[in-house]
Amino acid sequence: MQPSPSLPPVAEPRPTTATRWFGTGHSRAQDPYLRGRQATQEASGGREACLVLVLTDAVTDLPTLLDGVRRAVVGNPSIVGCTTNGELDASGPLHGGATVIALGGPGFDVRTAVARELSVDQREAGRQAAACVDGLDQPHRTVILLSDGLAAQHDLVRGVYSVTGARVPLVGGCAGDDMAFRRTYQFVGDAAGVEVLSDAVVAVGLGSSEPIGIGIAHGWDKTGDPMTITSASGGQIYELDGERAFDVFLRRCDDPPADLEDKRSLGYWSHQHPFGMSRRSGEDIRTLHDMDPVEGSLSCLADVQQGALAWLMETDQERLIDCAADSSRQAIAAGPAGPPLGVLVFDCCARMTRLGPAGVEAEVRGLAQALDGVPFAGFYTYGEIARVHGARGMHQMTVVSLALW
Amino acid sequence: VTLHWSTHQLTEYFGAVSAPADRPGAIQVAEERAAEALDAEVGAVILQGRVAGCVGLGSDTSLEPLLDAVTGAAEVALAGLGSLHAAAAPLTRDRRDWLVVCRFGEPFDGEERHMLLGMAQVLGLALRSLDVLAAERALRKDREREAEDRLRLLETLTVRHRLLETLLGVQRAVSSRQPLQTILDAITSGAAALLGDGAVSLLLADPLAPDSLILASTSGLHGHEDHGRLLRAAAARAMADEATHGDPTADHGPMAEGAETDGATADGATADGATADGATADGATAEGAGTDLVGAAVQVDGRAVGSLVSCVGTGRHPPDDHRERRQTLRAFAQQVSLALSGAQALEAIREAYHDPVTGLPSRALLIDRLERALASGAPVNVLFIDLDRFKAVNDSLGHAAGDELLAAVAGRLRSCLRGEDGAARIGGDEFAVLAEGVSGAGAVSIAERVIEAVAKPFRIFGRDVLIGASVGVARGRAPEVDATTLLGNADLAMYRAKKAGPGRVTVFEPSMQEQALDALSLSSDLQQAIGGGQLELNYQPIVELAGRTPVALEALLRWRHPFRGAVSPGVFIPLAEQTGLVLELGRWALGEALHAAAGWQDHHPDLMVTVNVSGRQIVDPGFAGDVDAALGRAGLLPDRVVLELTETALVSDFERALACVRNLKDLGVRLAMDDFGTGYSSLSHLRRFPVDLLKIDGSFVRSMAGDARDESLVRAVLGLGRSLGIPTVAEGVETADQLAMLRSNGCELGQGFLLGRPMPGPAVSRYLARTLDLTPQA
Repeated sequence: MQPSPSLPPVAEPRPTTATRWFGTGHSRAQDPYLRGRQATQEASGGREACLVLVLTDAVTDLPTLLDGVRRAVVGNPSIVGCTTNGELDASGPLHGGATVIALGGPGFDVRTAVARELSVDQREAGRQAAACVDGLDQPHRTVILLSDGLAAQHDLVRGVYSVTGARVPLVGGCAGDDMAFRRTYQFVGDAAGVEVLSDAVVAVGLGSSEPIGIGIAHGWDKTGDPMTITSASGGQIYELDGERAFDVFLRRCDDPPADLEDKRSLGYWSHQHPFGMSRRSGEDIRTLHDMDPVEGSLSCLADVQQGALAWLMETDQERLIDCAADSSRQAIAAGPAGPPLGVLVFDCCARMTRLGPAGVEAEVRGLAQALDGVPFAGFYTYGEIARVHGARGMHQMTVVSLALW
Repeated sequence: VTLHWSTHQLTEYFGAVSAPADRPGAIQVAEERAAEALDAEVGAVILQGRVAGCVGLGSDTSLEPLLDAVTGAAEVALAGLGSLHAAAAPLTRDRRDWLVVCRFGEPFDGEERHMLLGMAQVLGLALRSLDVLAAERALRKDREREAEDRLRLLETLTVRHRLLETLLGVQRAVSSRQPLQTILDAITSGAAALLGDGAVSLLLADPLAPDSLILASTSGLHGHEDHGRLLRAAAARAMADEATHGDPTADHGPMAEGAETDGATADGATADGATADGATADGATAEGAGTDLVGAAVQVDGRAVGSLVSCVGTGRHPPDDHRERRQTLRAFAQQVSLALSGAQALEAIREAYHDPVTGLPSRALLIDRLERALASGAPVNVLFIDLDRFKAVNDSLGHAAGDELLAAVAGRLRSCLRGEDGAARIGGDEFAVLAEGVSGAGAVSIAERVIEAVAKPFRIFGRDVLIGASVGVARGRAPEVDATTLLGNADLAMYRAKKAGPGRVTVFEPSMQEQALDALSLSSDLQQAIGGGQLELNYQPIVELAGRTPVALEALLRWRHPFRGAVSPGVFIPLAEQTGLVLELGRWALGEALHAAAGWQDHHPDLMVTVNVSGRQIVDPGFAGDVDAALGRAGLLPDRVVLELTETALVSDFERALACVRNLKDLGVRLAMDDFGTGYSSLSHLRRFPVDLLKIDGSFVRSMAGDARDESLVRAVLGLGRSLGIPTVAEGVETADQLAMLRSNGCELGQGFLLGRPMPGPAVSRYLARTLDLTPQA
C-alpha cells in the first residue's frame, strides 16, 4: 500500500521578529478568560514568545484564566506562573488582575521542570527542579524558581544548588495568596495545556546568548543586643535566650501590638518586625508571619537554626522605598553597558505591608525612574530567591531583580 | 567582648550538623552550611583522601582538584568555574579527614580559617557520635545488647545534646555582652559539667608577660593540691604543641593541627610521667594518685593565648572515652578562642589582670600569684599599702592628677622592690606587694623602704605633692592561710598602721582578727543602741575666758553598753563612720540636743548649743533638711545652733560639702571649724566655708606651755581668727597656766576640764543657774 504522503503542517501567518524582546501586560477584565487573554496579548504584542510568565491572585478561576493565556500566545512558548500577593509594573502596584511577562527572540532557550510534594522533601524537590538546566548550552544561564509560598524553605534552594552548582545563578520568588496564608498555586505548561499545581515548584531554565544581571537589596540594619535562638524547629521559634520567644520579642519591640487577641492585627504587626541573623556578608533577614501568644512561639516562612543569634532589624521608610530601585540598579550594573530588554522583580510582601499603600506607590515610581523606560514587572512574594555568590539563596524582606539583555 | 559574625555561627553550625541521623546527612549539611557561612561557592567534605560530599560544583564536574586544597593549595582550578580561593581544615588530629571551602573574590582571612577549623572539629565530633551510634546499632542486630551498651548509646545521644545546650549557654553569655569573667566561667563550668567528673581550668597567658600563665577560671574540684603547677605545665604543653605542629590561621595552605604521632601523648599532657616536660611528671606520681591532664590550646588571631585543661584521676576512663573527652574539650577551646577573638577581648583580659592606670597587676592577678607562691609550701609575705592624703590630692587637683600620682607611686614601688617581689594595685589608693623568700623582718624593711620612697615629694602637673603610705605586713604559709586570707590579714594590719598615724608599718597579729571581729559585733550592738535608749548626750560648756560665763554648750555623745559599760566615742564614732550608722546617730543627737537647748532658752535666751557633724552627714543632700526639721520640732531659733565640722570632713567631698554648708547658712545656723590645726589648716578652706567660729585643737593647747612651736601656732590661729573676724575657742584648757597664756594672747573663748566638765542633760540647768544667775547679765 502506498503510504499516504504526510502533509506538511499548515503554517499560520505570524509576524516574525529578528530581535530579542521583553514585554509586560496587565488586565483587570472581570472575566478570567478575557483577563488572561488581554494581558498576554499586551505582553507579547503578537510576537512569538519563548516564555510567558503569568501572575495573578489565588481566588481567580485559574484554569479559565490560563485558557485565555494559551489562546493568546503565538507559537508554543513555555507558560509558567504563580499566584501572588499583588503585582507591579511600570504603571504602579497592581491588585486583583492578571500580569503577564513574555520574552522571545533569537538567543533565548527555555526549559522547564516541575517538582511536586515540595513539603514532603524540599531538597529532593529542588534536585528535580534543577533538571531545567539540562541541555541548556547558552553562555549565560539562570534558573527562575516559582515555588509554593507556604512550603518553601532553604532546603529547596540547597537542593537546586546541589545540582546546578556555582555556575548557574538562581532567582525567583515564593507564590502568594494575598497574604491569606492558606494556599498558593503554581502553573506550568505550554500552548497545549497548563497545569495548576499547589505544594510544587516550577523551575525555568533560561539560557541566553546575552548577559544576565541579578540584584539583591533589603535596606535593613540590626539594632540592639542579639538574642540567641535557644529552641527552634523548622520555621518555628519557641525560645529566645531561654525564654518564651513571644515574650522576649514583645519586650524588645518598642511598639507592641495593641490587641494580642486579634489574630489579624497580630499577624500584620509581625510582618513589620523582621529579625536578622548575622552573616559574613551582612544579615540574613527573616520575616515573622505569625505569633502565638499562648504557645509563646514565633513563625517564620523560612527555617531558622537553633543556636543562631538573632537581632531585631530596623530601617526607615525612605530606605525601604529605595530598595527596589537599588536592586534593579545592581542587576543592570552586573550586565553590559546599554539598557537591558527588561527587568523581572521579586519583592517581599512583608515590605508591602510595612511600606503601606503610599510607600508601595513610591517604591514602584522609584523603580520606574531608575529603569528609565526599560519594561519591568514582578510580584510580591512570600520569600525571595537569589543566589549569585556563595551558596545561600533564600531571602526575606528583600527585593530581587533579574535583568535580561 | 566584641561580637564577630563568626563567633556565633559555630554553635549554629554545630546544631545543624548534629541534627541528621546518619553520616551522609551530616556530611551534606556540613558542606552546605560551611559554604553558606563563609559565602563560599563550594563546600566539600573529604574523608580518607576521597571527596565524600561536595556542593557547588554541579553534578558533572571533576572533584579531584579539591584534594589540592588539603595538601595546602591556596587556590584550586575547578572545571567550568576557573580558579577559586581555597581553605581546608582537618576534622581530627590525624589529618585524614577534611572540611574544604572554595570561593571567588576574596581569599579566606584568619578569622574565617579559624572558624572553618572550629566547624571541622564539631563535624568530627558529630561524625564520631554517629559512628558510635551506627556501631551500636550494628551490634544490636547481632544480639541483644547488654545493659551497659544500651546505656552508652543513650549517653552518646545525651552528651551530644548536652554539648549543644552548653555551647548555647556560652553563646548566650557572649552575645549578651556579659563580663569576660562570666563568659570564661560559663565555659569552664560548661565543660566540667559535660565531662562529668574532675575539673576544667582555663589558663590564659598574661598579655604583658606571655610566658606567665594566669589561672583565669576553674570549675570543679582538682583532686591534687599541687594542681596549679601541673595545670600550668599541661597548659603550656598544649600551647607549645599547637605552636610547633600547626598554625591554623596561616595565610596560605590548609588549617593544620598538631600532627599526632603517639597515642600515649595525644592528650597534650599527662601528669603521670608520659610527657617530655619533667615538671608535669613528678608531682602526681609522687603522691601515688595519678592525674590525667588533657589540654587544648586556645588561640586568638593565630596565636596560642592559653589552654583549657581538664583534670581527672588516671584510669578513671577507658582510652576511647579519653579521646572523646579531648575532643569535647577542643570544641570548648574553640568556643573560647572565638569568644576571645578580636583585640577588644584581649584588651579586656589585660584590663582584668592589669590596672590600666599604673600598669601593675590587678587584685585578681595578685591572688593568682599568691596562690602559686603559697603552693610551694614556703612562707609568703604580703605588704598591704595604703596611701595617706591621696584623696585630698585627687579632690583638689582632679582625677587626672590623681591617676598621674598613682602611676608615679607605682614607679616608686617598682624601684624599691627586688625583681621577684610583685607589686599590684588592689584598688583606689591601695597597693600590695608579694614578697617571697624573705624573713618577716625582711618584709618589714621592704615596707619601710616603700614608706620612705612614697614620702618623697612627687612632681604632679608642675606641682610638688606630698603624700605618705601606711603599710600592713602579713606572713603565712599554706595550708594555714589561703591567698585571700593572707591579703585580708595584711589589709587589717594596714588599717591598724593607719590608725596609729601616717607613715607606719604594722605587722599582722592574730589578735587583730579578734579585734576586727569585736568591732563587727560592736557595730551590730550600736545599731541596737540607737533605738534602745543606750545613748545619751552630755554637754560641755564653752565659756568666755574673761568672765568665765558660758556662751554655749557642746553636745557630746555617750554610749552606755549593757555589757561593756561605757564605750568611748573614740571607738564607736569611727565605727559608725565606717558603717554609715553615723547618719542615724547624727540625726538622733541633733534632735536631742536641739530639744534640750530649747529647754534652756526660757531662762538663757542667748545660750547656744553646738553639735558635731560628721563627714558623711555634711555630704548627705538631706542633711540641711534634717536640721531644718529638727529646728522646727524643737522650736529653736537657728542662730542658737552651732554645727561643728572638722576640716577633714569638709575636704572629703569639697563641692558637695560646700553646697550643704551654703544650705545650712541659708537656714541661719552657725558653723564652727572643729580641731583647727590638726588637718590642712588651709586658709583657702576658711575663705570658702563661711565659718562663724574656730576651735583650736586641745593638743596644741596642752603642749603650748612646753613647746614654743605649739604656742606660736596657737598664737597664729588666734591672729588669723582676729584678722578674719572669726571668734576662736581654745579646746582642752586644763590648767590655770594654759588659761593665763591664752588670755595673754587675746583668746576670748575656751573649753576644757578647767572651765567645765561634760555633764548629763539634767545637770545643765543647775550649772546654768549656778554660773549665769550669779553673773551679772549684760
